[in-house]
Formats: sequence, structure tokens, C-alpha cells
Amino acid sequence: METCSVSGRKNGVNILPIAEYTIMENIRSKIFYILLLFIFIMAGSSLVFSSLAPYTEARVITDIGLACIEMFTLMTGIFAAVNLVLQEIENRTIYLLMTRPLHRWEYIIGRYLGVLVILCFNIITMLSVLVLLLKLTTSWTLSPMFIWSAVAIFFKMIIIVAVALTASLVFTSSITAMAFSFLTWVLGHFSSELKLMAERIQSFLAKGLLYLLYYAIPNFQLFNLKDKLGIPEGMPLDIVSMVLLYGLIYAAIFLVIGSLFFSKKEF
Amino acid sequence: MSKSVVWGLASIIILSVVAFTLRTTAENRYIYPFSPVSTMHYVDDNPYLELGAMFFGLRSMAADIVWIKTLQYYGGPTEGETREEHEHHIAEEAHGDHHHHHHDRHDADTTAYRKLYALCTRAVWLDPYFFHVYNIGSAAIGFVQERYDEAAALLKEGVVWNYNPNSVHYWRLNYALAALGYEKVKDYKNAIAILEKMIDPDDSPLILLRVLANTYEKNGDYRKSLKLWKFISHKFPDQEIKAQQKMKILAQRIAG
Amino acid sequence: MPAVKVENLTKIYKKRYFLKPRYSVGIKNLNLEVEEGETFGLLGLNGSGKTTTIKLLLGLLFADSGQAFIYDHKVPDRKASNLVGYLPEAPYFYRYLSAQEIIDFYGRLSGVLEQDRQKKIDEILELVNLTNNRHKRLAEFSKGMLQRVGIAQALIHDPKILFFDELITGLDPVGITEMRSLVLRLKERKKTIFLSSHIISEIVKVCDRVGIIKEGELVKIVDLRQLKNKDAELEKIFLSTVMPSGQEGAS
Repeated sequence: METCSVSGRKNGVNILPIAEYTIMENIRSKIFYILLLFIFIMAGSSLVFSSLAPYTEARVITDIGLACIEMFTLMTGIFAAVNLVLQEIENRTIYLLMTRPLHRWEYIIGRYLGVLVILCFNIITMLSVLVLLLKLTTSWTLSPMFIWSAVAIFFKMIIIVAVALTASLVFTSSITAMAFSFLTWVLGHFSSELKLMAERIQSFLAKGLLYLLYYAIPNFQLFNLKDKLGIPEGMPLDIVSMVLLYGLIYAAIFLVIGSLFFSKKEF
Repeated sequence: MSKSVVWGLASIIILSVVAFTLRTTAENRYIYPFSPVSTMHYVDDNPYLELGAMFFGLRSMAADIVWIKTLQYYGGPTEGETREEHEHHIAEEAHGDHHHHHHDRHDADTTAYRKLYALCTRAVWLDPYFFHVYNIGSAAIGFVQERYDEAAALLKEGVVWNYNPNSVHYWRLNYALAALGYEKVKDYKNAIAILEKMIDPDDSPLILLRVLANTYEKNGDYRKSLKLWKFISHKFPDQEIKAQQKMKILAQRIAG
Repeated sequence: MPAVKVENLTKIYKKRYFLKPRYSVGIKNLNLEVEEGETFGLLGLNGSGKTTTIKLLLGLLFADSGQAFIYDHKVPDRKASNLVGYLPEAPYFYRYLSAQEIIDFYGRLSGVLEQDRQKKIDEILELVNLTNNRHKRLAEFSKGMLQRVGIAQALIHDPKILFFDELITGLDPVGITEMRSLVLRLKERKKTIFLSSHIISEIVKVCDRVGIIKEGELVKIVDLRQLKNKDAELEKIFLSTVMPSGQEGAS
């Protein structure tokens, strides 16, 4: 039928343009000045502290450096993810997107991937500075576990950005969504303690609730390879890959939930 | 319920089952390698560092901070000593005109720096794989401050957490434990035999080289001690005055 | 086949105040048909349901009952969005993009093929008179220029129907004239145009038919082609329809 098809038109998956403009949006915002500032903070503080700890300079620089990288990407990641869609609703730029032949889930995935690309770039930039710092000031050598711990930081971001984005769609308030994401981050690192509490507590109801919380929240300690760099045998790589796959699936679950909420959303 | 909602819910359920399986498998095969919070036995003025470390997954960095605090403490004034007195001692040592009764403050007073053990325990509670805390901490507490039981307790902790027969670090901790035992009963001959296996002059920290030099001296091996002090003054230029002092005394002993 | 068909469309807004839901009518039992090539104006006071109607047709809102069609697609339908171009009231754009970039972006989203896109962008920028400013970032644009960008993005995928919501609100006289001539040019190109406004004098200059909407109900449809003194007559009809009875005489 003439009205159904329009010539010179393709209607494939529309994720890429959304991801690209998200990247552009970030590149052209001021976030990169903050990145530079953070690189200075990272370099400065790690050098100062390492000078106070003879024989453990490389360890101190590594620890502070990776902590800085993680905290910086966490803060920028949560902030960006939470405002990703809410800002577009508030600015009403969403109207012009949602009236295009674009599935709502494509929009969510595109925005999500765009932020991840930016975070990945930030991690790689800061990591390069860190490696340079270590090479120049100590007799440090690059170990596979160091690389894996940086990869695991990125996978933590894959999870927390999905959580933050979905929280923003469910709560439609950036403050609530940020608080939720932050709480998830903290409890996710505390999860082995949660399990221990669940095992020890007497009350059946409290036990159930604690177990539910324990399994609902991602176990970020599994991804926390940077804390385990001191362990000679490290984490076996088959477990690392299992954990990373778990991270991807966990993020996917949240994205499905987010997309479901978003598909019912009116503007 | 629309078709997309049904698909969405179905995929959430399937993905959750897969995620749960992966997670529990990983958790069962890889035991959380740190002590739980209920075993946190040392609290300094506040536990913020520990809590922050656990909530944000920054145990290793927190251990570094405690270790730096420990080093600052060990380098600072001890209990009952004012900042001025401490600086005075340091200046004396630097000018090499200190008197014999406190020629090495660290060696003489077994009650000085009482918090060392607690600080080291705090650091290794945060990161039990922090080799240098055991290695340097036990030397300071045990061989220098002569609180052998505390040092042994610290080393035992390290040996338990770092069991790995293929690791040099693991063996060094065991050697230190053994040497400490001989040192305690003043069996310097055996202590030296073990310390020589444990210490690598090119690699080991200064404190361990000084421990070995002093043990040589206690055992009457003045020549070996002199040689090691020569090496120390060569490798660590800031130790030169201290080493000169020692070498002078040792030369007199050899002559006399 | 009508370009736009609305059947008994109803939208009730729900808002929660301290968990108690409150309802307000968006539109109620709206029936409407717009023929292909026609310019249809929706005239009403603020809050009468003009924007609600347009948003329902575009799938930005979901109807509580009734149905609406864009040609033969029952909305909301992804395929229908290929056929429509939309310019919301006081549109916002990504200020960090240039005119060229933003139109290219929306063109990509609408699936305009790579090989045709640049040609189309050139053509449309020429139409809305932005060729010389194409590489400037939108942050530097005036309100009138932004409105022209808005028209351009609505046209990039060559839609059959255009929805303009409060096209001239907030523009200066030059901007208003520009917009009017643009609409007339689009009309010449046989586009179906659906616009909403509360400004009678503007509506009569471009529309073929006008629907008067009051408190969510379409109360009257006026065929302007059958009126002689369009401005005065439409104003009279509008006021008599919109004012509560008894007040007409006073005005």
C-alpha cells in the first residue's frame, strides 16, 4: 500500500545514532575538564602518599590510582545515567525523539551505551596516566591482574549505570535515583557481610529479607579485583569471566525493567 | 497485558535465573578473601576507615593509609616524649654526637612505640595480604623493640593468611618467625643462620639489614657486622653518619 | 482515506496528591477527520486540549478510550511516525549541536538513507533560510532561528502530515511572518498540516478548516473556505462557542 512504505528509507535498529549523540553531548560538555582535574588529583595524591611509604610505593600508587579511577567514573557515571533521560524529559527534547520511528527500548539502550563509551574512554585515559606514573617512578611491571582489575572496574560501571538509569525511570526523580544507586553501590560492596548477617539472624522474616536483599543487590566484591592485587594467586580467570558475565546479565535485567517502565511513560 | 510486557517479564525471569546461577557458582568457588566485619578486633580512635573501606571496596587503599600512619608513628615521638625532645634526638643522631645510653632509641627501650603492634594488626585486618606490614612491622616490634610475642603473633597471622609454599614472601615470614624465636632466647648463632637465608641485601628493607648487623654484633661477629654496615652506608646515603658511628665502635672492638 | 482520523478519543489525566488520585479531563470523545492536503487548525483557549490531541496522535500520550489513525496506522505505531513531522510548542534542541548536525541526527533516526541525507539537508536548510548558519551551534541561535530549525527537523524525512503546536507563540513579528510564509509554502507542496493555536488572526491566514475545542471537547468545525470575512466571522463564532452563555452579549 502506498501509505505504508516510504521510499528511500530504512528502518533498521536505531541504537547507534542515539549512542553517538550521547557521546557527542558528553564530549562537548565540561566533563573533560573535570577528568583532567581528577587526573591531577590522582597523580598528586598517589605520589605524595607513596613517598611516605618506602618499599611499597608501587602498591600505594596503584591503590590510590585505581580508587581514584573508580570513584571518578562512579560519580560521573551515576550522575550522567540519572540525568540521561530525565534531563531530556525536562528539556522536552524527548518529544522530537519519541515521535520518530524509534523503539523506546532502542532509545534506552542507545543512551546507555553512549554513557558507557564515555566512561570507558575516561577509564582508559586515567589508567594510561596511572601506568605512566608507575613506570616512571617505580620498578613496577604490568601484571595481567592489574588489567583485569581495570576491566572489572568498567564492569562495575556497566552494572551501576544500568541501575541508575532504571532507577531514574522508575522514580522519575534524579535525587532519589542517585540515592538508590549509591545505596546499591555501598550495599553491593557490603554483600558478604549481608550474607553473614542473614546466616546468623534468628528471626525467620528478617533472615528472608536479608537473603532477598543479598541476592537482589549485585555482589560488587566479586568485581573488586583491585583489592585483591596483593593476593599472589589472584582470582582464577574462569571465575573472573563468570563474574563478568554475571555483571552483563545483571545490567541487562535492569535495562529490561527500565525499558518496560519507559514504554509506559507519557510525555 | 501487552505482548512486549509479557516478553519483558519472561526475559527478566530467565535472565535472573542465569544471573543467580552464575553468581552462586562464582561465590561457592571463590571464597571472599577477607575477614568479616564481626572480626574487626582493633579500633583506633574511630572505625571510619574500616567502614569506608568495606562499603566502597577500598580495603587495600585503607590498609595503605594505616600503614603510612604506622610509619609516621614509628618515625615520630614515642609516648612520654615531646615533639621537641624527639626532634632533638633526631638532630643528635644526624650529627653523630649522641650519648651511649640512648645511642639507638629504638634498640634500647622496649616500652617505646607501644601502639606499633595494634597499628600493624589494623593494617593487616584491612588487607591480610600486605606482606610489608608483616615483614617490616615484625622487625620493628620484635627485633628492635624486643617485644617478641607481639611480633610473633603478627607473623603467625601473616603465615596463616599467606600460605603458599611457592612464594618467597611466605618463606620469608616463616624464617622471620624462626629467627625471632632464637633471638628471644639469645641464641644468636641460629638466629643469624636463619636471618642470612631470609635477608637479601639487595632487596630487603633497611630495617632488616640493621637487624642482621646488630645480631652479628651481639654474636661477636664484629667483622661481618662491620662489612654489613659498610654496605648499608653505601646503599643508604642517609644512614652514613649512623653507620660511621657503628663502624668506629666495631673497629675498636675488633682491635681490642 | 483521511490523513488523520480520530474516533471517540478520550484522555483523562491522573495525578496523585498524597496518594489520592485526582482526575482531570484532557480530551473527551473527540471525533475528527483531516483530509490529505488539507490545513486544519485546532483553535482553543489555553488548556482546552489542543496539545493533548496532538500528543495522542503522535503517541506521546496514550488514550484511555477511543482510537486514532494516521492513514491506516492505528496510533501509537512506529510506522506512522515515518509519515508525520512534529514541531512542539517552544521546542528545545541540543544546544551543543549545529543546525547541520541536528537535522542530520533526526534524519538518521527517521531512517533517511545516508546517500540522500546531505542533499535533503541542503534543500531544507535552503527552504528555512539557514544555509549560512548551518555550522553554528544552536546555543548561538535566536528564537526565530530555532523555530526554523524546528521546521527543518520536522521536514527532513519528507513526511506527509505535519503537526505544528503553537507555531508562532513567542515569536516577534518578523518570525511570525516567516513562519506563515513557510506554512503556505508547505501547503503548496500538498502537505497535510495540522496546527494548533489560540490566535485567530493567524489561523485564518493559513487554514482550510478550523476545529474549536473547549474543555477537551471539539464543539464546532468551521470551514473557512465558506466564509467571506474570515477574520471577523471566525472570531464571532469562536467567542460565542467558548464563552459561557450570558457573557456573549457583554463582549
